[in-house]
Amino acid sequence: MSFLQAILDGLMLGGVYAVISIGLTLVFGVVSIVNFAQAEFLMVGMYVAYFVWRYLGLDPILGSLISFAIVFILGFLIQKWLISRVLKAPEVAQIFLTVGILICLENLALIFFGSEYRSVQTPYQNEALEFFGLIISMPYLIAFIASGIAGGFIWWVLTKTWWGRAVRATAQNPMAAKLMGINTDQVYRIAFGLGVGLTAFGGAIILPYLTVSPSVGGQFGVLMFTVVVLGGLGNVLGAVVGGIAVGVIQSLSGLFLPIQLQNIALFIIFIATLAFRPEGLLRKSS
Amino acid sequence: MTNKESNRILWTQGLSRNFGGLSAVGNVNLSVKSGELLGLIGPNGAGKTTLFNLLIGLTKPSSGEVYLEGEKISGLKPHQICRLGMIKTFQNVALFPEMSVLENVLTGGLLRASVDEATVLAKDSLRKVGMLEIANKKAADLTFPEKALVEMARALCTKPRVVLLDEVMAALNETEMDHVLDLIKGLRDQEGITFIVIEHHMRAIMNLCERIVVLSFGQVIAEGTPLEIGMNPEVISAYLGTDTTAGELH
Amino acid sequence: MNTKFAPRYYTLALFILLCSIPWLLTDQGYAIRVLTLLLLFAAMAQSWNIVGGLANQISLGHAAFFGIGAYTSTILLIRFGLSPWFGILVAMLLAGLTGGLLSLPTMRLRGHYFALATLAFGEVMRAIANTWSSVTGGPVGISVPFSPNAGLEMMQFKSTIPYYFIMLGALTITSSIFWKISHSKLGYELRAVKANVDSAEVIGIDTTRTKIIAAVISAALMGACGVLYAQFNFFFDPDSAFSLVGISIRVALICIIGGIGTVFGPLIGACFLLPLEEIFNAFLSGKGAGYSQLAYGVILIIIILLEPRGLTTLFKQAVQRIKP
Repeated sequence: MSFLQAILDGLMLGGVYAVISIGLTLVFGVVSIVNFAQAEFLMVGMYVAYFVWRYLGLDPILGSLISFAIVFILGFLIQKWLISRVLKAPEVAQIFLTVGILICLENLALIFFGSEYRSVQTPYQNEALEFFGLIISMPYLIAFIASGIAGGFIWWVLTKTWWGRAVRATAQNPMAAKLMGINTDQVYRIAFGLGVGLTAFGGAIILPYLTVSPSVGGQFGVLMFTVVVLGGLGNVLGAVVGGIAVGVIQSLSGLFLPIQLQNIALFIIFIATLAFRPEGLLRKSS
Repeated sequence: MTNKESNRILWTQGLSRNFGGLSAVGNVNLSVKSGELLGLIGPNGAGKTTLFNLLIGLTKPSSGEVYLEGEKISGLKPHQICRLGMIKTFQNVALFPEMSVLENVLTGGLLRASVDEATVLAKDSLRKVGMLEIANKKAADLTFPEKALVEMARALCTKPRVVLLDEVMAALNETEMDHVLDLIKGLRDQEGITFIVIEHHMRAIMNLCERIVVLSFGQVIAEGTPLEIGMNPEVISAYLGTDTTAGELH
Repeated sequence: MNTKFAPRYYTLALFILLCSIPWLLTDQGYAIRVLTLLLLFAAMAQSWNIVGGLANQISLGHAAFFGIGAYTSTILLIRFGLSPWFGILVAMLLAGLTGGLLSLPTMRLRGHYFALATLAFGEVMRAIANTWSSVTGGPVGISVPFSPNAGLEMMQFKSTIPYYFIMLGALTITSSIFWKISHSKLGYELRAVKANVDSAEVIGIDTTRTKIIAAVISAALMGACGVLYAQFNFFFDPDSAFSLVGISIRVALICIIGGIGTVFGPLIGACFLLPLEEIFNAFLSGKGAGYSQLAYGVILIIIILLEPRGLTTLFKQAVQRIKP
């Protein structure tokens, strides 16, 4: 029974992991940069939602939209002023630029918000549904549904809108995209903003069942990268599948291992995927 | 074993390589005699470079075997095959750009020698190809023909028995081409090195090679002397639709 | 100018200078402690340089080997009374082995992927150290037992000066190894592999073996540095010994800022970065946690945007501009 429960929990979590990770894979797929600082934007998103809840009384699920908007702008500017300058630089420069951003964001949070853990109180926090003897915790469920909606929205944007096609064109062949009149610089900025914004959104919707602190990014870093590597860097659908897979694996390993060792299970999967199938488990799509 | 067979230095049996559903190289049975100057031609995309990659281990065969001097080498890694005496040059030249010409070439000699010994070997190789004067230039600063020759010098440093040249004469003018042709012939005559040469310059191939193998869509469609190949209707039709006309085959 | 001659003399002069500094400073004072740590971090950066500079593989997980070294020798000291001098040997063995094992699955990874994998590895080691309390003492950390009569045999000193020279020795040894490798067969092979793996394979270089050897040497040296740190600091915990920002990133940064792939890069980088950190700590720590690290991050970004190839390149370029 606990096995099924674990799987269910894993699915719920996995949906959220998926949304958080879509942002990372999008950035890589379009801008071609591995954003080591991605998890920090999750942290920023959580803080925004927290303060929106605290001072405006908005539920984090609604606050998540504000998180998205604010972090989108932040990402847009970071791409414009910082990332764009190293797109043609050696990889060393790219790696350390995003690492530098990581350090700055985490410490800015530490300076402005202090190191205490903060959490929100929502009316549904402690509620749960029962479903054939399985328990679905309400915050998990709501986050899962919100993720689904966000994921669906992104899917729609990428496949049905003109802009989405511009993004995909730029991702596949920036030169050709430019020739077709697409402003690739603008695409990069929007893609980066969208990518980090999505991760921030993901952070906001899990606020009801987590606490936020400046170091919360660290908990999700390895996880996000595992999801993305499993699904294939740049593969949005892969991030979804990977997210759910990681959620389930984490949940199942929680049955047998203490929390910190769960990271090891994830790491082994991460390394194994990188070693044996770096393009991800799925066949190449977009 | 017939006399002809006992002279073989390199041969393949049913060598194939598929990518997805595409057959890049299909069922190639090649036989190369020791000291032979063999030409490998075919239209673009025929699988010539893939065949080279299969021979030296950069690509694993989907099926079939490769033998070098009687030993099965299919499935071995390129550095092992190099040790056994076969090496290739790259179509777009693969020197180490930040190293000097001399350093590039001596790295090839490290296979069987110390750094100092390899340096001596390298200078000798460079002299053979006529590139000794630019020994200290950075590889990235060379012209394309210079790079091609340096890469050849580096290959020679590994003391090969079989050298696979992939369009080494691509950017050369007439004089340079003649120089390379003489170089290859000289190396074969003096050191008994076997050469398989991929080229698009028909004049070069016809001048140099004693035997030619024609590849099209991964399959061998013809084998023979330059004269025979030039008159072979299948070969001509394989080339029609590309830049080479029938007239250029003579 | 005969370039083969001059560097040797400069190096000797530098060495003599470094040897004489301690006598000019107050023992156990602030300055000499900082310098001692500076030399240790330069040695660590030099170890990293073997993989980062020669093979061009940016590892963000070298703290793993550092921590393994520190824990190995300290645990052996506590449980068996083994002198850290022997502990270093065991630590190097373990760290080197780990480095070799890690290099296998990461063999074909390039750039970002390699950085990612190594980063994840470092974090996993940290997690293990935090959880495996029975062996490592857990999050609380571990203290090197202080014996009042100990001296050279136990690598424990009251004065800072012996530590200074030990760290100087570490820097000298790691730098010599780096120098030796870059001018040896292995150095050529590494540079070839860095430039073009396929090309290197074709001309007879066993690229796999080359990468593993570099990884093992680098990891072993890093492990040795971990031992030295433990003996100097007398205390460490998983979060400091396996620290991503404090060790892995810092060490890579020192090397990169000073000049990746050069033998003096690590020392130059350490001389720049560590005093800078101290200045920030001095001025900003009062304001609360995070300011000095923030400054660190900002400096990093600025340097990357200015000249990704490091201070050595910046310096060379500046010199060239001054020349007529």
